[in-house]
This record gives sequence, C-alpha cells and structure tokens, in this order.
Amino acid sequence: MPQMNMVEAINDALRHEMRRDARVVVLGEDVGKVGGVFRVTRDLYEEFGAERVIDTPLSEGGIIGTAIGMALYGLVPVPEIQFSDFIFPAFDQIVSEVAKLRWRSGGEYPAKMVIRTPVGGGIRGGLYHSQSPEAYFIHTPGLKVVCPSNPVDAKGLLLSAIRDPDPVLFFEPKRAYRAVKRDVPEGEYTVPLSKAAIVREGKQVTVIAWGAMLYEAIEASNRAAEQGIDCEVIDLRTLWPVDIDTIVESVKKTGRVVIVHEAPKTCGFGAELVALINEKAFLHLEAPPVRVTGWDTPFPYTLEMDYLPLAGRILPAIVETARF
Amino acid sequence: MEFVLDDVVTVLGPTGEADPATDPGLSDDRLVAALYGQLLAARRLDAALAALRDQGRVAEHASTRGEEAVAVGVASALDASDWLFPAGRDAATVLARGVPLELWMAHVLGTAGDPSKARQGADRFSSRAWRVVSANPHGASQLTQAVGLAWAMRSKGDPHAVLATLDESAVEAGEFHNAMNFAGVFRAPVVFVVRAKGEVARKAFAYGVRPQRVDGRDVLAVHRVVRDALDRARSGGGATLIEAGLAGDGDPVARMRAHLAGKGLVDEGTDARWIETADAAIAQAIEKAERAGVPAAATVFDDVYAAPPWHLAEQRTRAAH
Repeated sequence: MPQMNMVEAINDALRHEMRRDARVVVLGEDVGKVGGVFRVTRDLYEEFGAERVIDTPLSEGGIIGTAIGMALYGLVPVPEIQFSDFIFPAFDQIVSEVAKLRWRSGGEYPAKMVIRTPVGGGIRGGLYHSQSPEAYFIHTPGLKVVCPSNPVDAKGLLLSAIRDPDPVLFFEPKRAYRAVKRDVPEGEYTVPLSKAAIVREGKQVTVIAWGAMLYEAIEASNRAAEQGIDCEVIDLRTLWPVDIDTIVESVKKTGRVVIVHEAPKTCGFGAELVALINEKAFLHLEAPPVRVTGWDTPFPYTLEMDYLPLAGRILPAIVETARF
Repeated sequence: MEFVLDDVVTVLGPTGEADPATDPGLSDDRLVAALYGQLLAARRLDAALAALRDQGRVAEHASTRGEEAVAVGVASALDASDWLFPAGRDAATVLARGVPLELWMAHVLGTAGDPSKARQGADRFSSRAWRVVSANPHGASQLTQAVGLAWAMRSKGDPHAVLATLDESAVEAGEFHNAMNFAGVFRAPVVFVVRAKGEVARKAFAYGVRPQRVDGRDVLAVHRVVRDALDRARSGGGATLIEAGLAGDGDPVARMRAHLAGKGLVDEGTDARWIETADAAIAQAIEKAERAGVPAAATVFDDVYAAPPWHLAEQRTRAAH
C-alpha cells in the first residue's frame, strides 16, 4: 500500500474517478497544465486532455456558474477554488444557484458538483489564504460540507462526494496537505458521507474537531490523559449533514463536550453543535458545552499561531470542563 | 477573430413592406401569420397578467408591452433541441417556444401543476422537458450557466445552441462580463439577446464575441438575426451578443399587422378571431391552473437534497403536528 500525503491521495481519487466516469470534469484556475496551485490536479491534464481538465479565466463566479451549466447538461464538474478565501466571488452562484437549483426546479435541475477548496491557516498565508468559511455553506439548505483530516479519508470521502447526488463543498485542510502521510489503499474504496470517526475512545470528555485542528484536539487529549482525564475525540469528517447520532451517543456517555474549530466563534459551526447537543442530550450534560475557536477577528498573519485554537488552548478547556 | 459592428438589421419598413435583402424568407405565409398571432397573444397575456396582479392573484407582473417582437422573434428562431435561459419578463418567449399556456399559467399562479412545484416567483418558468432554465431575478447569474451548458453541449459533440435573454440593466452586473469572457474564451455555442434602449452590442468586441444589432420592434428582423446567430453557434462559430433595440416609439404588433395586411393575410375579422382565441385560451388556462389547487405543505421539504437528511426529516415530522 503506497504512502501518500493528502495532496497525492486527492489526486489519486480524481484520477480514479475520471477513469471510471467519463462525465467527471475538473475546472479552475491553472488546474490544467500547471496542475493547480497546490498540485492537487497534477498530471490529470496529460491523461484526460483539455476537455476534461479545463483551465478557466480567473473568476470564481464564472467557474461555478459555468460548472452549473455543465452539471445541468449531465457532466459531473469538480471545480477547484484556489483558496477557500477566494470562494466569495462565487458565493452568489453557490448559495443562490448551486444550493437551490434542485429545489427551485421541482427536482428537475440538480446542480450536482463537488467544489474543492483548500481551507484553514497555519501556513503563513495571512488574511486571505487562511480562513475557514464552512459555516456560511452549512447554513445554506441544499449543500453538503465535507472536511477530511487525513489522506485515507480524503480519497474515500472525495469518491463518495463525487458520486453523491447533491452538491458538496469539499474543504481540504491545507496545513495537513503534506504534513500528514498514511498508507492509502490503491484503487477503489469509499468513506461514507455523514459518518464521523471516533479517533480516540474515552469516557470523560467528548472533544469534537475536524480538518487540521483534529491533530490539536488529539494532542490536547493526550496531555489531558497525563492529568488523568480520559477524552473521546471525534473527527466529524462530514460537517453537514452532521453525524448527529455519533455526537449524541458520545455526549450521553461523557456528559461533557469541547468543540474545536478554526473559524471565528460567533455563529461558527460550534454554535450549531452546542444547540443540537442541548436539544438532544441536555439531561445528560454535566457541564456547559465549551467552544475553543479562532477569535472573532480577521485572520492574522504574524500572529496566526495565537489565533488558531491549538492544543495549548484546548487543554485548559478540557480540564475546566472535566472539573466543572 | 475580427468583428465589425454592422448596421441595425431591419426587415419591416414603417408601412410594413419587407426589405428583400434582409427578409428571413419564411417559406409559408402561415408561419408569418402565426408570428403575428403570437405577438397579439403576447399582448393579450400581458394585459391579463396585469389584471391578475391588480386582483392580487399573481404576486408581480412587469409589463412587456412593446417588446413582443423580441420574445416572439427569439422563440421562433430556436429549435426544440436548443436551450433557453430566460431572464424573466419572458412569458411570451417561453410560450412562443411552445410551452402550453396551461402549464405556464400553473407556474405563474403557483398551483400544483407547475413543473417546478410552485417554488419560484411568477415568470420564473422552468422545465427540463422544454429545455427552459429559470433565472434568479437579480438578473445575470444565469448567463455563465448558459455558457457552461453550451460548453458541455459542444464538448459532447451535440450540435445545438443555447440562448439567454437579458434586460439592459443586467449588462451592468459583473456576471454579464464573466459570461461574455467565458463565452469568448471557450468559443461557446451561446447567443445572448439584450432588450436594450442604449448601446450594448459594442461591448462584445472586448470579449471576442460577435456583436449584432437588430430592430427590437421588428419580429422578422429578430427572427433573422437570432436564427443566423444560432446557426453560427451550432457550426462552431462561437458566441453572439445581440442588441435588440427598443429605443423610441413604435408598435411591433401594428408593424407586423401592416406587413400582413399588405399580403392580404389579415383584416378586422381575422384580428377579432385571433384576439378571441387568445383571450379564451388565457381564461381557460387560468381556470384549469386554479382548479389544481396549491401544493401540499409537506412538499416544501422535498428536493432540498436528493433524499431528506435527518434534520429535514425531523422538521417535516414537526411541521405535520
């Protein structure tokens, strides 16, 4: 089984699916000959040609708008947005069009596509190469939102996302792109959408994370164990529709929960998770659910490691929750 | 590719005589007469919709009086296998394409017979069977979608074309320029038709899109230039931006009537019959559409996703109690 980082695993998934399904096309800025800003689409142009690996003008709205038209005609577009910070010029096409087309057409025009985009900070990218905009899309009915944390899940989830009938935002944590390597199965396998992974079993505190922050959650949980606190760590993998059963089952067991995300706190996805936990497991709670998140500020350049909810900030939240 | 901005194409003179140099040469007088019938029907429908709006039975209606020749000219030039992206204010375009009035009326009245299940506002007709894709009322986001569909069509080797209509105000929107840019870069088989009072066509030069101007009150001229642009698109010639000029006065219905009168194809009696037929069809379509009733409340939860996830299933159950 070959060792791959996340960039290689996603590239492998795209190649696998493009060989399997002639309807799948990739489009975006420099995804063709250059192979994408992070080289995720490397060598696809050489194998599949310009009709299936399409270099577009520099216009995210145009990329998603044309991808919609392609989807309406029966193709399965996988557009790439170079950074999720650059997705906002396409925001109208995603939230007003992609998300609503199936519904507003009475089911006749599903705009099925997978929008791939690198997400998150920690690479010295500064204000406009580091943000985590998942909550905007989770808030919009009609979209599914995925964020893998490792190469094995990235490939398996991307194959599921491309085959899923609904449009999917596929956020790739760029801090983990090359930092995390795994043995990735060759060829065909999938990881189901809307199924979280319990990456560490525990009895006292549930820690929920995804993407690059999963590793911070694990690190904080390891340090908590040294203090005798037994954490259960959940990697959500799919943010929406979220695997509510796994969360509720865990919280019913532990009665305590810490939620970690890079995005700002206010109206971040953590807020929705807290509300859901309150609705479905309130009487099992032993402590108020806690969020450890990015600050409610723009994403800083020099101070990014102070902004990110790293293990050093997660650990005190775990301890506080455990001792509440 | 070098383009030139030709003169505004006109077929019908002020007294209805056709210019043999530009006449689309419709083979059959019945076709010409049918275009006139559609112009008249469009005008009657416009009045009927205004009345429905004033009675509160339709949420909105913006008049299309004076613009009928653009709608009818466009629709008459499209093949059934071509795709149409109407911007809105396009009832006559959709109906002249052949969509049954009853189906369209179910849409505009928001009743259960609407193919899109009464989910969008009036005049946002959508139907895969008729290859019509509705637009967001903001007015320009459908244009890049039209380009993408055209690209996919050409990529598959299907020799059809896509036509998108828009109002002049949409030309100011960023998505218009996105669409023109992508259409030019991809040489997509797409035709944009702008209902314009000012100058629009020359913007096409910047994008490698062919500019074309036509008298928007002359149904034969609109038919002619749209037909030619669609043919060009289908044969790999790329995109066209058509400025259908609507500046000044002039009545497209009267102009076409003068043309038919010159050929002896219309008199007061035929006018009365056309109008009577159109009005009866409208009344019947309204009655049939309203009889179907509104969609069941629980249908709001359908089609958000291919299958309802747990949270929508919960909300549907809650809504039912």
